[in-house]
Amino acid sequence: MIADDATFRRLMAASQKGDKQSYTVLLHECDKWLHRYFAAKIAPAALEDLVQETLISVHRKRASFDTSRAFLPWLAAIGRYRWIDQLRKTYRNNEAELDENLIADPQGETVSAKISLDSLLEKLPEKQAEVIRLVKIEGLTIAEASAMTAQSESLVKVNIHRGIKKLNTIVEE
Amino acid sequence: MTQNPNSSPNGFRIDTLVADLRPVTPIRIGRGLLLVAGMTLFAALAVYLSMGFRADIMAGAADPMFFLRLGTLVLLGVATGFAALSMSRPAIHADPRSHGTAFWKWAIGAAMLFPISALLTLLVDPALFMADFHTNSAGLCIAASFVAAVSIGGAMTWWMRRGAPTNLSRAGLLIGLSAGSFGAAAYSFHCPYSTIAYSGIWFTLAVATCALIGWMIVPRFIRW
Repeated sequence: MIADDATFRRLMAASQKGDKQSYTVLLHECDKWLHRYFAAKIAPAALEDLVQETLISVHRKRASFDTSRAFLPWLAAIGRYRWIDQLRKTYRNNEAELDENLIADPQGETVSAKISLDSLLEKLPEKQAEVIRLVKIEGLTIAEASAMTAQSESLVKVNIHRGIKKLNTIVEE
Repeated sequence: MTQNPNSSPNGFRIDTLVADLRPVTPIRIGRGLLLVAGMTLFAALAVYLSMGFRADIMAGAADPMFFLRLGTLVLLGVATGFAALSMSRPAIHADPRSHGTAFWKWAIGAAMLFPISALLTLLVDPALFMADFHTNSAGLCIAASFVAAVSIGGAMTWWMRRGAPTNLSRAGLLIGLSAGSFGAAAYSFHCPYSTIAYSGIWFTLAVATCALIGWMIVPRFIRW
């Protein structure tokens, strides 16, 4: 059973004061909560690393938690930031190797990350997904994406804005 | 063999984080705003020492337009600054009103009355607009506001690094807007012109320049 928000908040308040016993319990509870939070979002092979990175961020950014507010929305925001950051990095760094990895290591993290991002983009209308791929992932300018997709520059901007907004909603659900 | 409950399958240990635990002071937005206020006062003092204040302020009878412009810039600076600093404490599905991010768009809307009025003046009486435009001192207006904004925005960025902003572009934009507004407010104590044409165009350009630079540059300093 995972602790409720009030328990998380109390543990974090004590941890911010340096209470190591409370902090140990807090991190274990966060570990459990994050496993469940990410389980439906990413491939099992990438889960452990992402949970660990998020726990390290929780540690480094613990001063950013306000004890008068709910804890889990804060933890979810930290987790979501780390997840999107990891997807972006993996996708950018390894895009060229993806096809080889897919053959050699179908369960690999790189592939998992791409599949995760692709599966997210598949939930968007085609025109939005296309310009997000071109501008936000491949790094093309708005003008270049406009020329490639036959969408006007302002339509490219609108589609990116709407697509990212929709992605955020999907990720938060 | 039983696995250590503090250790994950690939060797990550929660114990290591616990051993590194030190007491921390939770981030307080009020302290960030005090820092911004202090830097703005410092910028205003620098304007006084380097260029002097407007003659009507020194005479104790400032033009009403001076107060309107100053009030708008301070309002915009506070609203965007509060929103920016609030982003240091992230939360998903947070109520924007209680999270400090609800009001900055309204403040921008109110501030837009200045450039809109200036453009209306241009449409109604172009000759009067050009007479009030004072292009020769526009460079000083933008440069001085920008220099003041760099010190204020730098302090905000440094403060923000302790936090955990999750939308870096927006945080950068808001820091630029806030610093630009306060920087322009500091310079406005020197600016001798009180016309709507001048304030609506050049001050707007100064703030917009800072917002653009904040949006482009600040994210790389607050990434975590």
